[in-house]
Amino acid sequence: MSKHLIDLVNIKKEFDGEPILRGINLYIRDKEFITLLGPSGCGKTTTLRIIGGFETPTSGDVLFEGKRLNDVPPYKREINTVFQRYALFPHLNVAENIAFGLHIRKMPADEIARKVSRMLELVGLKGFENRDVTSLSGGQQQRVAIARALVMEPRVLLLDEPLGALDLKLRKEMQFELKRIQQSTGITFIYVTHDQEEALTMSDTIVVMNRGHIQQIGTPTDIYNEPVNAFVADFIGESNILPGTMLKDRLVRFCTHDFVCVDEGFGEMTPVDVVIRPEDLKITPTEQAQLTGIVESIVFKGVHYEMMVRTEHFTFTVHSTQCETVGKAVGLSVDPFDIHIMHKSEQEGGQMEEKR
Amino acid sequence: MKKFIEKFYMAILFILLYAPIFVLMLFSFNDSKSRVSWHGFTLDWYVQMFQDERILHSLYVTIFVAVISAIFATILGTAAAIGIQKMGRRTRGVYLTINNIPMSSSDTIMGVSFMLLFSFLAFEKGYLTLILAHVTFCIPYVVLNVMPKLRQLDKNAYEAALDLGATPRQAFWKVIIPEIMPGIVTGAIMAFTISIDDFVVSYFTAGNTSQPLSVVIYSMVRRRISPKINAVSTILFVFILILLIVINIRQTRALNKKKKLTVYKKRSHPIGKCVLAGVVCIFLIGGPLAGLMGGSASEGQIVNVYNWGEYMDESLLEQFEAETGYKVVYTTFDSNESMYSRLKTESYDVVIPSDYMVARLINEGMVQPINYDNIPNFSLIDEKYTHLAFDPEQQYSVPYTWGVVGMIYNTKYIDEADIGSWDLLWNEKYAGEVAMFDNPRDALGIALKYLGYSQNTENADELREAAALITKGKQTTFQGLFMDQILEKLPNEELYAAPYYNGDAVTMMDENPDLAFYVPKEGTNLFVDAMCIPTNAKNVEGAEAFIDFMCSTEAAAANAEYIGYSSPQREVYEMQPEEIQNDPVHYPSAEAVANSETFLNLSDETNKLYTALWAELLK
Amino acid sequence: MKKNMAYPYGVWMVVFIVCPILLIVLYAFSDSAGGFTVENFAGIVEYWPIFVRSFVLALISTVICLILGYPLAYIMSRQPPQRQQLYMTLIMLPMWMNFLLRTYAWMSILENKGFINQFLNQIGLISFLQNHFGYTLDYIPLINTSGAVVLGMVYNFLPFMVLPIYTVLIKLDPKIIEAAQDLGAPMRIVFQRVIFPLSLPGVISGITMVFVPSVSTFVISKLLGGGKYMLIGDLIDLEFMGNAYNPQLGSAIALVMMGLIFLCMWVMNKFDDGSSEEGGLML
Repeated sequence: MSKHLIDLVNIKKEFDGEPILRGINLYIRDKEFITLLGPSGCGKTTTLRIIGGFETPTSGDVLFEGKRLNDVPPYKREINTVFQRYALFPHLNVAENIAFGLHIRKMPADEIARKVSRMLELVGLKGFENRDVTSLSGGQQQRVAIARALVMEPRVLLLDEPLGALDLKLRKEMQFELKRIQQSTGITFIYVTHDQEEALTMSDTIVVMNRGHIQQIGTPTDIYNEPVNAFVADFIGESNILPGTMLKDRLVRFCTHDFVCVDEGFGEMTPVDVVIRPEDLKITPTEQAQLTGIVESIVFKGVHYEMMVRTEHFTFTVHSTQCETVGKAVGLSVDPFDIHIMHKSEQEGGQMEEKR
Repeated sequence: MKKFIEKFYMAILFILLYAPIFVLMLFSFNDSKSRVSWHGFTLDWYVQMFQDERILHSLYVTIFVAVISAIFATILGTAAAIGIQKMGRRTRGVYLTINNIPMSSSDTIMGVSFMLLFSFLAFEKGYLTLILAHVTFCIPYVVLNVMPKLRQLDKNAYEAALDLGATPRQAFWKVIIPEIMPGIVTGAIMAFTISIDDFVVSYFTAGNTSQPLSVVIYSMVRRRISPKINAVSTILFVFILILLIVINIRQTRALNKKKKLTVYKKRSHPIGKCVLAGVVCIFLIGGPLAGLMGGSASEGQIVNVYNWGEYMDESLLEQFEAETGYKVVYTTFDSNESMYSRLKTESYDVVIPSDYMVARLINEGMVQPINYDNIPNFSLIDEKYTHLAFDPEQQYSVPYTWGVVGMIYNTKYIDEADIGSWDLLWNEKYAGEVAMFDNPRDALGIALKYLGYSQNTENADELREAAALITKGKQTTFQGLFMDQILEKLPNEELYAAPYYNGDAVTMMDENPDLAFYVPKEGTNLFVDAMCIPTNAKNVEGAEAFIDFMCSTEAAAANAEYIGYSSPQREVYEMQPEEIQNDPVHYPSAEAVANSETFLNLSDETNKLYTALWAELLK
Repeated sequence: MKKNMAYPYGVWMVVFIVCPILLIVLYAFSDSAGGFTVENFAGIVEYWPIFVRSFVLALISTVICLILGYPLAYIMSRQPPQRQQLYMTLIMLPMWMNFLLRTYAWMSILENKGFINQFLNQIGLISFLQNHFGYTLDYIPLINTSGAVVLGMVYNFLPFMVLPIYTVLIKLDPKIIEAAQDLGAPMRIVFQRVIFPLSLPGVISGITMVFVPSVSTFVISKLLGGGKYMLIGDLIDLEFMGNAYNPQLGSAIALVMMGLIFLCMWVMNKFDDGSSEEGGLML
């Protein structure tokens, strides 16, 4: 991929003495779809607002193509935003909303007309020009908000939980739509969400944040398969996280059993966190199993059954297409490469950006 | 059934709300001064209204002040609302609490407090004070209308505008302002309405050259409202009704039109509206400004005259203006005491109080010695009326009229046998049909005379006895205590008998031939009203010219004829036809007034006792 | 930068709201020579009955306004929007006719020879009373009674009661009412337990907006009460602009009245704690 477009260098932000961002280092490449993912209050929106220019960092720098952007007001940045609840101007109709920024730029009327109409087409709102924005449905308003930002032909588009207010089906549609728009326009998208599935579906890169720190940066696959700590593992999908001890390279002990794994370099007799995805646990006859337990509950989840299996030391969540019966004793086994070993994280976050 | 009850209830309430308005409008077309009986249709009052400078001027003041106040209040209030919204909880709390004061403390308190402020700052009452006061009580309404709109505002809308390349200024004008516009407009309309409807605050803050309609109406209400006022109000009401309807229709139309508007046509910039507003503003500001500048250029040309209500032939004012080039500002009062209060805070060039008040003003140094050399016509005044007790050295005053207080009664209702004495006022036969004066000196004076005491007594016991008598009357026979309203209530037969001045008796008897007049045998108050020049007069020369003019035989005669009071000029008396010279109402005979006294100025102590007794009596 | 926008008004408020009130306090505590005194307050005692009368009449008017105004506001709030607009306009419209004139017009209606008595005479009610009940007057006395004063207050201030209540009522979520009905409450109970309590902020601000001007009015009593029912407003007028001229005493009276009004408001707000900010008097 290409060069850095935006760099965040050791960004810190405090509100009333309360630290919200505790040193964010991040670079964003041109034309990528990057997602800031984390629970509410993790600082993702603040990061976005700092990029957009609506907040100034307490310390640290924002660079755009290597030039310091800190003191540039939002209206001079080549960055546009799709706001959380759209922030459409209710006194203007659909077309006027979209044309707002172009009018500010004093673009000739015919050109505005052309651009607005192309934009309406892009977001699938042809024929809605004169509609009152307040009369639109949530999805339509969303499209207007996107069109309004995109028509400015920004280098970067910031999207702050843009799909939060939509119902599930519409959200799926829009996810697809957004991805399509991003690909066809080649604009860098910085996307904020707390929905891990959304992040996994759409992003080129995901930045997982918690409590003002970046936890992990990586491709969706990396993040999913190689979470660097228990927080990430837990936040990205469901996980069984249990304490263990790294006996030596490629051998870990948990639940009083020793397991072969693929991780190295943790040293010997190091306490670690062990992460096993529910779908990586296989139900086997008890005699072949590494662990045995009793099925405590079964919930049908559509594509699979979710079962709670209680072993001597830990209750595992297991996903399986096979239905067992409650109370039955079953065996559990896991492949070595499905066992993820992570440092016990006292201080969360920190060093991960080097991983890119 | 329930629907019906609801409809019925609404109908009743709306009838209640609109009945007085209907009455007012209807009687603006009545071919009579009466407010209770219909005498046929006429447009005379409308014609006369357009010729009445005072009414037109006050209408102009009202609208001018309302527009200016609404504009200032809207600008200040909107800015304040935006600022307050951004404030911390605590500052905002302070702001909103103070902002609420004008609305939650009464307008009487507001008015009084403004009056104190302006006299403290030594601001002369006028347009400025009026507008400052109006702006102050209008702003809270603007703030309270804009704030909710700001709260509804999408927090991100402003940022969205910045995001789309608008500078903060552009974002403010193109996004924030348009979105809170409905609140601003409602606030402005409310401010305008409230300013137009205000009476109380204006009453305390308007100067005599800037009286809005409501204050002028008030000065009339206390005696009789001319149907001209009904006409003005009807026009104003209809005008606003039309305005509201037009706005409504335009809104609906705009709403429909908005749906058809072509997409990219830039919003029709309200240039037309701006131009229109500009023209209106120029008209509004230009008028008084020209007036003020003209006024200040010819400050020395204005003569401020302060007189009793309906106590001068006002066409003489025009004549005076034409002859001398001075401009007269003419205002009226309805009791010596209220004149005295006003004189404390405002400047006049000529005042016309009664005898005892002249003495009081002299005592307190509130009037200045007159240079009679500049008033050659003073020599025409009958010596009987000079060097009287209130101005023994004849230094401060020029007699204007004289007269007596007597009883006016309706011969249809009052038996001949019951007349001749003040006794009539306490005659239970006429309980609820007689009235007493509504001021301490006159009312207690009558009671004192009835009891056989002097009207100028300083004896507290005698005064208490008199006060008790009035309290008794209030509880038994008096319909009410009135001043100028008697002028209307007697001819309308709302009252059967009441004390009043002989000059006005003449006028009332013209209106209702059943009325008659007598001077009670116990004696009464003989009064002389005189023109004086207050110490704080700004135009002494003009005042002298005015007094001299009023003393000229022609003017004095015309005036006496018009107001019905007796002139202190021998020549005027002699010009009258014999039947008037001998008429006991116009010129009461010497024996009729034998027991009468003029009011003298009382000691401070007795004045205080009067106030206290009066307060007691009004409980 | 936007906070600054309130500063001009801040200055304005200090000069034109705070200072004048401080001046009232200052005057109330000074004698005519400018020295400090509390004598003015001693003087007020004499006028106590007037205070009592003012508060009693204002209270009666406020209660009547509430009884008349609440149903009106309620009915209005349940009309279709177009109709609501119309009613609103109809209620506001009389305010455009000068308030003195409106009151004055009541004189024509209430007088002994006014429209009501003319009407009663026409239909023969008066002669009926005279013939059968030994009634001696040939009219029914309406004007110059305390009833007329109350009528004047109710008439002039009724819109101030209706508007705030109406504003609160239209903001009520209809779902709340449905929810109450869903929970089995009949309409009467829904009103008692849900609608009325929720409309209290409007009621409170309506009461304030009627009570305050009623207490301090000084024209209505003069015109409709025949000078026999003097109110605090008349007293203040008398001290500042009228016969008595004693601004110090007038200020003391105004100050005491203000204090009493705030006391009343405070007591009333005790009844309804949460409603301070959303007092909702606006359109």
